[in-house]
Amino acid sequence: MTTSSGKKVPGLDAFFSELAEIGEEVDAEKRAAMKPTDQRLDDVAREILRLQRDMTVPGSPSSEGVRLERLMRFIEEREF
Amino acid sequence: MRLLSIELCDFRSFFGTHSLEFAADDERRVTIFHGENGAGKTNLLNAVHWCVTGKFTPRFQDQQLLVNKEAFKQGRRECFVELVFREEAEAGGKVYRVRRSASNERQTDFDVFQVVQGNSTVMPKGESLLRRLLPPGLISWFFFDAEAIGALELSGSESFKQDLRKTLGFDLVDALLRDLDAVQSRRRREVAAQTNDRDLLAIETDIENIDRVLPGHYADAALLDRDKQRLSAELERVRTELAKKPQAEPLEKSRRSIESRIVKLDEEKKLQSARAAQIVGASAPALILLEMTQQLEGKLEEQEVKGRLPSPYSDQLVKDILGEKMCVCGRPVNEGSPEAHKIQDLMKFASTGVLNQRIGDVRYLIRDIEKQSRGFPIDIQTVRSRISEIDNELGRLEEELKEITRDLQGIKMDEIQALERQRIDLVREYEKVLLKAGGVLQLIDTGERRKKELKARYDATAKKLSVNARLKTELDKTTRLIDYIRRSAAAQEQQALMLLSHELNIVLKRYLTKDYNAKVDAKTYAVQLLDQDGQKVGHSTGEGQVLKFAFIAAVVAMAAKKTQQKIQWLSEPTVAPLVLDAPFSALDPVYQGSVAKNLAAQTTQLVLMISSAAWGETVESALRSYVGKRYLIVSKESGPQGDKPIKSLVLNGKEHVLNEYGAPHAESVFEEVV
Repeated sequence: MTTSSGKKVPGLDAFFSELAEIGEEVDAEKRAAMKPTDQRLDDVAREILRLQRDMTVPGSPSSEGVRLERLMRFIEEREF
Repeated sequence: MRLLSIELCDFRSFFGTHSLEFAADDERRVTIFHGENGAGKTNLLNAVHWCVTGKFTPRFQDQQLLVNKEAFKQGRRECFVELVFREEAEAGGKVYRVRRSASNERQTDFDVFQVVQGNSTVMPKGESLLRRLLPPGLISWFFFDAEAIGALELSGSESFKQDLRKTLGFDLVDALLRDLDAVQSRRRREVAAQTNDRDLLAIETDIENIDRVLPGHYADAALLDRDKQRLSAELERVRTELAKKPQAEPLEKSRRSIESRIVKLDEEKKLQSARAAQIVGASAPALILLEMTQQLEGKLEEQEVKGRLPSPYSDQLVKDILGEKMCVCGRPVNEGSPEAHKIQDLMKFASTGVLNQRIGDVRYLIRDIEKQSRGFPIDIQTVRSRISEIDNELGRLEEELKEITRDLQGIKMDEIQALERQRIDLVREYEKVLLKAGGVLQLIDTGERRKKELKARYDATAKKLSVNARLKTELDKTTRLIDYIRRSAAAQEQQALMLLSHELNIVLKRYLTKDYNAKVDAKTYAVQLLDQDGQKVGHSTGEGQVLKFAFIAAVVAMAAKKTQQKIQWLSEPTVAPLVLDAPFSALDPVYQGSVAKNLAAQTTQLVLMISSAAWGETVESALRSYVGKRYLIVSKESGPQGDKPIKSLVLNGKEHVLNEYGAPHAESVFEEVV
């Protein structure tokens, strides 16, 4: 199987590489087709997910109260 | 995570200390343990399982006897298992050491260390770290007693769905949405407090009350779901035991066949009932209209007899008479004359093309309504008689089942009677749990619906009030963000399930001789195997077993590949080695080689514990290019050989002995095959 970049990958890896590439292309197309307001919402959503990940990292998870405060502050600070 | 090494000390059949390394390369990622039945393969699987979770696989017996018997005789009262593993490079690549020790009575110690350049530092929240790397709910997916694969439910239970969501990394989004719901709730409370509106405050209090109890209901539902799974696995075990007894085997076989017929009939009954509802729905308007149309048709016929409909003259004839100013009888028809007016009046009733078409349409409609009404009694009768036949057959089969139970209870063998009693008790318990679960689901459904209604009422009420602009904006932002994340997560979920279906079908196409397809239900996550005619294929068939292995491998592979795809939406999915005890014994030999190859190809690390009975040239050649480490688990017996056989295994043309007699004490030892 050959990917769009011409790289040859055998078997299942090829399948997943192809899917990954298609996925990235589709994502890029979807994003380009988004209205600026939706793009902003998309950015904020990705950012808040990273914040949630940071607050629940193994070893030092934040308490529910702390998490909610930070999420509220995060939303307040963002314009969307 | 990848397993790097394990150290066992006085654990079950392993006397003294044993240190082993696992194959952990990207290429050579398979470790194989060859051992006969009773050599200690299941003990090894459980050593890994216990070290990570503190629990054992469901079929692991005598869990309170962990310390090796010989070691115990020599005065040693503790055993331990120590695992060294490495996080995936994408997750940081840190190395950890987990050590768990226990006496026969209780766990005595548990520590997680981070290893940096050979130095170990104790992790203060080791348990939490471990749970994060390998959530307890997922352990059964990765450390698997494959002899129990028959009990793996792909029928889409809530806990199965939740486990799968976690494996695929949706748990972070789920947790974020839960927190954002709480944020939204706080904002609503602030708005209610600011407006001091009694209605708004009351609605918000109602929402909060529901929010307070709903998590409890969800937790209950998950627990009951796990209970259902446990009971179902236990029931399966008892029934398998029962089927092994020659006196009970034919009866148990008939029972399974009757139960499978009952399932099919129940499904057909559902379909027929749906068809009956559809027939009634489709025919109801025709039946209601029938009387009216019959009256209408009577009128039409009456008019026809009187020669009024359609009129015996056309509009063209009237136009011609007026145009030519001459009647068909030859008399003149002067413009403005009383005759001309009379003839002009005839125009109102003259037959026209449009009128004729309308009469034709009405007649067609009447015929159609009559046809539908005539067909209704026949159609509904056919369906109803089929439902009645099904009911009769179901009743007969239920009687046959009771008869089988009586016959089994009548067999004068304590063991069979005990198993049958156990089966009956388990069925009763299962039904109780099912009933409870139904009640809890009903509570959840009512709660969620009520919450939705209250939220809508809240929004409608808040609109009428003068809410502080800042609060309004913040509440609106939170709501929009929640909606967006929920929509995006749903889209991601669909994509993941599509990939899973696709992956499963690649495997099935490649390995099954039959043209079967797998379908994953987007709502319940139930996995169904369908034959070429779209008919469901049972999960207990040979192909169904292949589907289960393919499913586990596909899930594990997808989780691993997701980190490479860098999907920012999802948390890091669970990447862990697949550790399988007796992977191929439940499989039709035709499929063993292909399943082995598939497992090796799809996992980041694979550990297999295989008996010589399930080892052959097909499995060997399927795994050859992936195997990095290979061990024999040699069973040493203290007694004399007597008539007992010496078992051996030929690997790469060399014969290896798998059991020995006359040893100083009974134990299992590892020998690496180089």
